[in-house]
Amino acid sequence: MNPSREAILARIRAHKPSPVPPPEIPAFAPAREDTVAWFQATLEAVGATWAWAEDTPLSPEWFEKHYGAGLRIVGVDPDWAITDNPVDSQTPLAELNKIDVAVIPGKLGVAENGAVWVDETCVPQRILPFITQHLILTLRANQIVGTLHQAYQQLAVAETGFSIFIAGPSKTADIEQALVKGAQGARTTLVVIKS
Amino acid sequence: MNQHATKAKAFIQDEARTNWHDEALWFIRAKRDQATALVAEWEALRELASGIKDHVLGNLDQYLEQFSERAIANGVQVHWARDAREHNQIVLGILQQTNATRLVKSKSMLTEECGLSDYLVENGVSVVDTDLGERIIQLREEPPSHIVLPAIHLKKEEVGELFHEHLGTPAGLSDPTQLTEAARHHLRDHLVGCDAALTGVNFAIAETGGVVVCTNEGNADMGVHSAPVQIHCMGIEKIIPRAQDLGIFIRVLARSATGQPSTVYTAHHHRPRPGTQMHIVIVDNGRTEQLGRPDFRNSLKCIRCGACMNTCPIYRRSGGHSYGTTVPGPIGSILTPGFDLKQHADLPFASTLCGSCSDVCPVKINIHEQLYQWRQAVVEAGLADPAKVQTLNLSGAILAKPWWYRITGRLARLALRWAPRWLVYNRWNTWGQDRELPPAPRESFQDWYRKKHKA
Ligand code: SF4
Repeated sequence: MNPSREAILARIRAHKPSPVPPPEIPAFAPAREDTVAWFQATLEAVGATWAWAEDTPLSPEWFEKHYGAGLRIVGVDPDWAITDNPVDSQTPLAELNKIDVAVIPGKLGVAENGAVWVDETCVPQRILPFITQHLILTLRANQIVGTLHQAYQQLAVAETGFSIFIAGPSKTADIEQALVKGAQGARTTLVVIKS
Repeated sequence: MNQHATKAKAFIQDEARTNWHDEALWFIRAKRDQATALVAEWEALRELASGIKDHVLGNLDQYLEQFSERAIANGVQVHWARDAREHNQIVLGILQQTNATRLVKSKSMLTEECGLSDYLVENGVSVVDTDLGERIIQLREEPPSHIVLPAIHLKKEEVGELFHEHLGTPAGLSDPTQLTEAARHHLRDHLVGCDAALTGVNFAIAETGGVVVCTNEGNADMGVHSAPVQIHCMGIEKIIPRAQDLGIFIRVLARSATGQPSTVYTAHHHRPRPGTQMHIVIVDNGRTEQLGRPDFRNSLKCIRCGACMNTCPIYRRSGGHSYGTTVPGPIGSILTPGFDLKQHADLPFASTLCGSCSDVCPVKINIHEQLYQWRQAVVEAGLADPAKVQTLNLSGAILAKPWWYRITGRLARLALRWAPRWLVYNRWNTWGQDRELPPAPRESFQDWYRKKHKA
């Protein structure tokens, strides 16, 4: 027995109010029905960008045009075979820290906040979406829902050891409220939507 | 005594700066208003968030037990701390056991409250705060002035000077983008080379045993996924029953805090990576005491969004440091008296009781009513400012007798018109300091009303 645990629980039992039932969460209708367009608009509002997969070849020329030449690009979306810089669960942190662009498949998108759900099974190492300088998330249009309520209804958050909603690039406004993208995580986030 | 008024007075000496601070916070309040206006069911969400928290408080023991059982089953090591001291010892113990000497920390008000960083540094651990704002104030060796925007009190030139001194940025550089870039490189070195990473917790899910951490910068995730040891510290009140409830809380948290639809990162941690350790430290530190105070237990529903600070006319014009507490502003003024009423007896008075805090609070805490109730507790405990008590006693006596009230009112109107300046504007009349009193009317409201109704 852990004495601190027992002491805390005993004090809670002695002090807590009489229990009330949990409220019923109603099914809130999403604010918009054009879910994909809503998702795209929110991405823009939160400082991310988006593109249709057909317009996004993710070819060497495409990367060079959009991100620059001589970059280290890592792709772990099975739909896009990018094999230049293979990353696995053993790749050392120092190597991961040199990645310029990472292409990662997402599992679900949320229109109201522009978030993409990524879990542990999407990446060889949990740190990949954060340590890369630029992030590309891919998603199928039919994986996008309107609200966070709908998202959490579909998701099993404890299915994997780690999972996350990513809504846009890393950002901060800690210096005089000036919004700066690229704080500690990815500097840009592009969401590629497969129709 | 804390002396909020004295420190606030020092803060407002610089009028331009006070106005700048006031406007910076009001700008965030305005963004909150825009974001919440876009959600048709906003009021229903607040009601639900409040209702879920009420339900949690009444079943907190069961939910904590459930949470810790599930977490342990997930391979997490769960620790319990009765107070700040025990919390700090537990964290140090974890670090010592794993030979960790370089700790990176993301934002956690709880560890501020416990004084963790100082304790660890005294015990030979290097601690680096990795949220930009937190790093700024850590380098300045001062506490945060806001729970969401720790460096909101600083100007970019001051950050520039600080970074010039500590990070070697060029002298005179004050561009936020360039300063943030310099901090990014500086912090990446620490994040990628750390031995252990510690975060606060926004929500702890009882049914799954996982913790949810919300950030914008990505610093929490950079640390946690680099480190061989991850530690999450949470107050007992962070529990929510089900993952479903996140739909409510994530929807209200960032909208209330900064007007964003959500933070950039909403991380759900359930199990450690293979070969690493995950620890959760559950902390009481006065919370069970607050739970036993029927008038004040509602304050435990707080999700630390900071909206009550951004909207508060006193906070905006006195700055977070004037409160002398870990959590400043309206919510701090109802939480902190519970720790030490004598020390913080003046905080419930650092308010106009306008109620704006209660109006914006996403979990519907009756903040201004609790401020009022704490005032009564302060007076009952004999801790009120004697000058205030005397004035109130005198006013009470006058107001109790209508004829007395009418006579004193007439005398005051006469005096204000005819008395020499020094008699009205002196150090005993605080209402005459720093402001001109309005011209006294010739008749009282009552006289005016009677006349009007006769006519
Ligand atoms: S009291 Fe309410 S408004 Fe203030 S920080 Fe807590 S949740 Fe936000």
